[in-house]
Amino acid sequence: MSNLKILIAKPGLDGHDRGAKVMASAFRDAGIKVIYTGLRQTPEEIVTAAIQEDVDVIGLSILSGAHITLCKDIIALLKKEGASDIPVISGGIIPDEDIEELKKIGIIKVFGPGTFMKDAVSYIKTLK
Amino acid sequence: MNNIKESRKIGKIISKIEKGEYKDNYRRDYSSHVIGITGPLGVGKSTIVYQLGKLYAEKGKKTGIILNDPASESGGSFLGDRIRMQKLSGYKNVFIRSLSSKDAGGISGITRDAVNLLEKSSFEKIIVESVGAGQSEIEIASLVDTCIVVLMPGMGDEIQMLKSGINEIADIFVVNKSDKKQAQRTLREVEMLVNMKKGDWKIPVVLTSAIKNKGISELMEKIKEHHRYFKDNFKKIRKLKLEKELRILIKNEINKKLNCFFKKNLKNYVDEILTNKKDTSTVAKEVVNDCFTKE
Repeated sequence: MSNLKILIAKPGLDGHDRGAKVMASAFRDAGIKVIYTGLRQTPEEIVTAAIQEDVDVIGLSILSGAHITLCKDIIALLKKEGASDIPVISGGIIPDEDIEELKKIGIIKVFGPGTFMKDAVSYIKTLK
Repeated sequence: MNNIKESRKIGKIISKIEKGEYKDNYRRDYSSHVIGITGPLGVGKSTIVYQLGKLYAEKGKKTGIILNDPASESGGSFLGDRIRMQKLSGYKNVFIRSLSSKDAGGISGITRDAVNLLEKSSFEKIIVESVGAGQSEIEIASLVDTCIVVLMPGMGDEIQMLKSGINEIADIFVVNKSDKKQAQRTLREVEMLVNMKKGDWKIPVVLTSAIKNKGISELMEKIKEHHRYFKDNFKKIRKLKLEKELRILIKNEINKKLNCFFKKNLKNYVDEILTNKKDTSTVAKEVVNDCFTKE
């Protein structure tokens, strides 16, 4: 049994959480602990939750198109709080041409549309 | 977020507690007030925790919140209580942590250690929310100073309440969702139940609508009153609590040993049954007798 723990959060103005919930359930079924914080989170709320819950990875689900800005803010805040050792992955509606930039910002992996759940699960499991 | 460093430290230690890697012989000095919130699924426990937490935080009190959620068969879990109180993440004096119930030592053991840790870190108010069903409710109740049982209208008649055993752990009853039709009736039923109980603490029944933030300050007042009663009768109450706590901890320890024992020996006993034609209940009695005479 793994002790792996992931925070699934939806930052910013975005009302669609089906994808995040489906992924959260897949992770749970794979024996992973999921902290689900729901919709419309600020970067501060996400970083605070990640630190208090001592998660191994943060998963951001973004469908609003604001992924570059939001990811930048969250990565910067993690750095400011001395928690940049927590890896951040993202998923949602993210165009292929943005993946490179997200990686430059510090997002270690991007799961776009068409991702297989088993791939996401096995990737997460390599993180610990 | 000026307490972020402390949050990080506490967060890491709780992870160790969950893995059974942290040991501390801390004895509570009761400098914190530990408040338990329990009751069936969906009555609004998390929302009440949120409203109470917010009130305490705004009064400048250092507040710790421990949330218990069930673990799934896979060993994973979906800890979603935080959704209802994510706005509390904006308060610098609030620490929230979710625990899932399949870790080493049983949920009550982990909760106890986490409560101790928060008291040691000088949290004034510690709110513990329980899973929502089963034995762990009663276990957690014995770990807290003030136990609040939350009910809501339309959950069944009063007999149901008498049956459930949950009335034995309440220091305060809350009837939440007061905007529902039958709220007054449920309130009267619970009051009747309470009036039948003996004892020098008269259990208050508070009507709330947590989502609309109604009745919460009244609830807080009752919590304060109970805390006063708790402190005035400390010796007597503590003795009872210690007895219950010890009982639970011993059970947890036995369970741990038992699980090891099962892993090692259960197969052999099954083989024995298959070959020797002994029956299961005889073997079970023999095993237990063996264990207890050895000690």
